[in-house]
Amino acid sequence: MAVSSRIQLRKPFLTTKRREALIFYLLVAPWVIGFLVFTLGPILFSLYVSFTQWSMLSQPVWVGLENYRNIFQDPDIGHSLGITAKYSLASVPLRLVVALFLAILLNEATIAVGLFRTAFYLPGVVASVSVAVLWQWIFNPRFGPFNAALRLFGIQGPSWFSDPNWAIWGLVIMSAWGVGGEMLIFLAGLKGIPQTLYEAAEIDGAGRLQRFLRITLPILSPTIFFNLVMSVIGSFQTFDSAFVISTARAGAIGSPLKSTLFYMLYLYQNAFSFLKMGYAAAMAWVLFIVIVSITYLINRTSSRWVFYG
Amino acid sequence: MTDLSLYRYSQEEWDRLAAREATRRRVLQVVLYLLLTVLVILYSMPSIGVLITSFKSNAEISRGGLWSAPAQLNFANYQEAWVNGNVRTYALNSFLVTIPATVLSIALGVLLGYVFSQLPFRGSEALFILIVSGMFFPPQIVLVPLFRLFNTVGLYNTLWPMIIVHVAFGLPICTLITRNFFATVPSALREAAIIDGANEGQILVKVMLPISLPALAVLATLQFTWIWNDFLWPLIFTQSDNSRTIMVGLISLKGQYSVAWGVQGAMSVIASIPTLFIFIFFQRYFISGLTLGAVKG
Repeated sequence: MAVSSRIQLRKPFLTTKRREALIFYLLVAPWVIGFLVFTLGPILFSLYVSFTQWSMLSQPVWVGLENYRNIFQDPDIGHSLGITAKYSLASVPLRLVVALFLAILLNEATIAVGLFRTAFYLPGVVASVSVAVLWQWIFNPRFGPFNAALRLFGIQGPSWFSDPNWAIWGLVIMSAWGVGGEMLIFLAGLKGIPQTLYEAAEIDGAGRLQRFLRITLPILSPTIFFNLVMSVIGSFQTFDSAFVISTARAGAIGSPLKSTLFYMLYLYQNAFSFLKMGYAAAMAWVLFIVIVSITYLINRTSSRWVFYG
Repeated sequence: MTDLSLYRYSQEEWDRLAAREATRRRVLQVVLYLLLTVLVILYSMPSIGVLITSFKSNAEISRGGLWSAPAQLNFANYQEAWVNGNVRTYALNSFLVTIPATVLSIALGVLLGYVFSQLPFRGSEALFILIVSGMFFPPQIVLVPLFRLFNTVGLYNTLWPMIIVHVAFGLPICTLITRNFFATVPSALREAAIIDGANEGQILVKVMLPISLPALAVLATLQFTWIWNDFLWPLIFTQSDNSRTIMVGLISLKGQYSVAWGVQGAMSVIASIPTLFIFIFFQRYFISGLTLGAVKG
């Protein structure tokens, strides 16, 4: 330091610091532009549109809170939100239990682990559209294997996706097939549990169930929390599978009889079938608030059951 | 100190206990693998069903149902889907969207990851959090505005909206993963390169990229799969048959071939081949990507 001040080098305009700052801004610029044009701009515009009536064919007309008022009075909103919540309440626990169960089995296995893992994970890689096509066959009331299996037990299966009472349960069962992602995350969590804990517990005389309840679950709780939040958010945004299955037989969106009219489907229908863009934008914001509130509530409970070791 | 309880049993009793324990473990192992095998069969059955049906003619299906083995490998369904069903066009479109969007999002992610890890700046941490928070951004909010935007600029019904949207929304995860990877690279490496006279571009291309290939492979597999399988955006941004990607094409063809199960099966198989291919060959990267701090479900 002292040496350089005595020699008195002439400072170049682009000092290392300035050069690095320049590079920083240069490289961040594409994201900033993209963020403004494709995220922040659209978010603000969406907020504005939600206060207007707009068919996209003419200019938006400011209507204040009318869209939001209508949302509270629209029976289909309550209906679609109810269906979505019902699906979420059934499919999220089912998915988590199945994923955890598979992960525990895989964690115990020592032979051909890769093969088993691939078999369980593969469905998650297949596109939701192909999955939906596939499960329509499986649930086909006449020649589908699901009802054939039920017949073995003397049960006459329902006609699933064409029965308004059963369509949503078909979707719930279907959702348990693609749990590969959650399973892998659970598996990574299980691998992180020190084996010594189990050995110590075994010496103390703890049985399998006790070891699972007292060691596995508490240590895994942050992973369970993560998967829970992600699955809940995902379930409230369900679109692909319900869209594909309900529109399959030239049916209306959410058919039969609106029994699979998930919130996102109704939103899509408002925007692109009814051209009620303002209403659809308001619906999107309401869904956003619902998802944020549920995530917040889950987070509030987490201090009671999530243990960060 | 010696544990007295060890002396409670005679040698024979010990052997008997050990043998009983070994048997118990063996039984548990058998049960475990039995269970795993049954579950694997259950989990693979749907895919196998579609695969075998795709090789069967309609007459064969109505005779033997969906699940009987095909009499011979009959590629007529594939030909029908590929040529008359326009799957050729859909698949090409999907590649034209997926490959540029994957490459671009990763390239931009690398640049961002590099500056955030190597040239941290006052306030850059906050900016980074803003970028990454985009991962949790709900797409339905921007559905209507983006539809309007691409309509206005004349890109509606082209492949551009999908490319742009996937780059914009894929950037958060690409930035997160590359930054976290670059952060593990010792800073001495960069300093040594600077002393050797390398500029930032050279450091990035010649020092950082070669060692970050595993992270890039993770991103490439994840991005490719998500973009290829995407359904909502092409459903909204495309209208004519010639600009549909394969997922939306599948749906439109489903109506046309509503009773042709074999053709439907063939279409589903074709639509799944690229992602299955990626998964099977890059499985290692895929799995490490999904569990990378459980960044994205």
